[in-house]
Amino acid sequence: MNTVMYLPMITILISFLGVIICAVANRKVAFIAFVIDNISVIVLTIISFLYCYNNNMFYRYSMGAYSAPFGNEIRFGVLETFICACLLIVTLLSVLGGKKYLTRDIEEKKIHYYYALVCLIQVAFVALSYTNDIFTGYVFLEITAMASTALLMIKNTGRSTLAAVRYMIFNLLGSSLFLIGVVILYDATGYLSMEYILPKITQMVQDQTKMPLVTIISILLIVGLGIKAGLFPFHQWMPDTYGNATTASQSILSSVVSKGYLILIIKVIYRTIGFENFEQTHMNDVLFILGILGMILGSISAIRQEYINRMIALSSVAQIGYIYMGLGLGTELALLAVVYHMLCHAFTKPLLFTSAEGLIESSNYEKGFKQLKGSGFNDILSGVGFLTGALSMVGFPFVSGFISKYLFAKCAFDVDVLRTVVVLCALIISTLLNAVYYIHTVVTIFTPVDNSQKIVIKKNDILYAIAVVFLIACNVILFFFSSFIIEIIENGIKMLV
Amino acid sequence: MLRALMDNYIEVVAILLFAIGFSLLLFHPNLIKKIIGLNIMDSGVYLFLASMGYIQGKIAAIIQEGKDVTYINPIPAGLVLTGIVVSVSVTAIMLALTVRLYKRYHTLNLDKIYMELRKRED
Repeated sequence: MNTVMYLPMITILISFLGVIICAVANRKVAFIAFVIDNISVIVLTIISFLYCYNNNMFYRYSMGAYSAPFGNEIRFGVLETFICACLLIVTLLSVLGGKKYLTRDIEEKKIHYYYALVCLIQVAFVALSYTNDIFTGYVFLEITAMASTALLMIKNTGRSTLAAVRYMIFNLLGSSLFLIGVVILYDATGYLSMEYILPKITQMVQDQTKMPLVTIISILLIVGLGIKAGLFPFHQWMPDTYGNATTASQSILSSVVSKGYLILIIKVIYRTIGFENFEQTHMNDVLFILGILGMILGSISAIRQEYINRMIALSSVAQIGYIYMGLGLGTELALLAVVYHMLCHAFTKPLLFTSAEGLIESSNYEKGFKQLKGSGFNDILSGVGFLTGALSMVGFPFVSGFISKYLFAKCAFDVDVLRTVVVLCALIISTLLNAVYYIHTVVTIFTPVDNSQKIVIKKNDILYAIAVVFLIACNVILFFFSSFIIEIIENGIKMLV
Repeated sequence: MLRALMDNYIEVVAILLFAIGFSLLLFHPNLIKKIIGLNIMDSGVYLFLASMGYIQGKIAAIIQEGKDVTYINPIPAGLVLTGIVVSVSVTAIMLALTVRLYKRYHTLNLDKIYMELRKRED
């Protein structure tokens, strides 16, 4: 066995080591340990990615040399390693960008626990990317839920504790539905390993008497994960949660954690149940409709918000709606658009949350839009960061969002006429609605305010500046190198099943 | 259909427990009762899994020499144990959150806490 085969498992173990070290060290050592841990995991993941990409193959690693279905195994190919590497970079940049607010929001003696929790989320995310076993997926889902609740409640105010309770309750509802779906799936098929479940489900679909069972399993798994990942009617926890957390938590929760859930949804639909069987249950139509409703109604809710944090949180609902719409369409091009949009969203949301916090700080900690007027001139870096993020969300050229919206529009033409029309209309309406609140906010923050006592050009913390600049750079890279990234994702999708 | 329900009464009870726990977790305003609902819901899942895992006439998966015996699959038992561990951990976190909320607001009723926060905003 080649050394590279061990690397994904080693990345999970290194992240666990990071959790332990950060939990017992003091604040400075924990930060250094977290950064070293994260960078080493990124380097190892990039090595595995290059190996898989050069050989154009996926690999399996079995725990304890018992191969599936009797043992647990992880499977990594081009897509999993690439998404993992990108989102680990996002984690690092989120923590760097939010570091100076950690001292403001969290007690001094608890900050090292924050880094331990971020390492724990890293563990869970890497394991969810690579898992080939559905029960392992459930266990790491729960670990993610617990670590993210702790990330919310570590800021010890009344609102954030209440938001953490609400978040935990919704998460538990989702996990339990997912768990009972996994239990029924195991009882019906006899396997927990994803690739062994697929032929059994195909057999069950062909035997028409067992079709209701497949439908129930699909509903439980998808709705369970959808509640956790912000599917349209279950997104009520998002504005409270993201509005009341510390900045790094907002960035990590909206980008890394939600993408972990989405990766598992993609694996459940394509590798466990199989898209042809999934189509037979018509759950793809349900996802399609709920995605479109999320796109439009999420944006409408965002327009009505008074606080910038809650507006960005509700725009997450709209962006995740795009992903569900793509999953409901189900063609290969739609899956490419979904994965590309996941990457764009993962790089843009932390940029938005971090620069919004910078703008809030330069306006004397006021979150309302009236008080933020002209703050873009007080803190130019945050203003430019927010501008880039907003343009990406709307879909302007030269930033990443343009490519993902273009791919969604392109994939609309592969399906029947009714769906083409619905998708294109939804894209147009959603882009216009996005433009309404994002461009309005950008104009507000860059409106010069005739106020003599302002003009305090803030000196940014160096780590904050690095984070914002790198996030802007990644957004622009995602536009200019899009053909290369699209080729990588296409190769990855071919090896997904 | 009634025949099928009567034959599989254990699974029916398990799903009823799941539904009761789910609605407690979702609808009841008292935090402690939400946690109890979470535990009832998880117990329903374990009952479902354990009942499906047992096969009459077979014995537990410990090798016994010399007899003509067949064993049941040990995996469902393993899944139940994993689920119990996960359930205990999330109960611990929920209880920690409840203690924090109680110390701050002196009530266990989530609706009252929301109303108080909204009053403070206004």
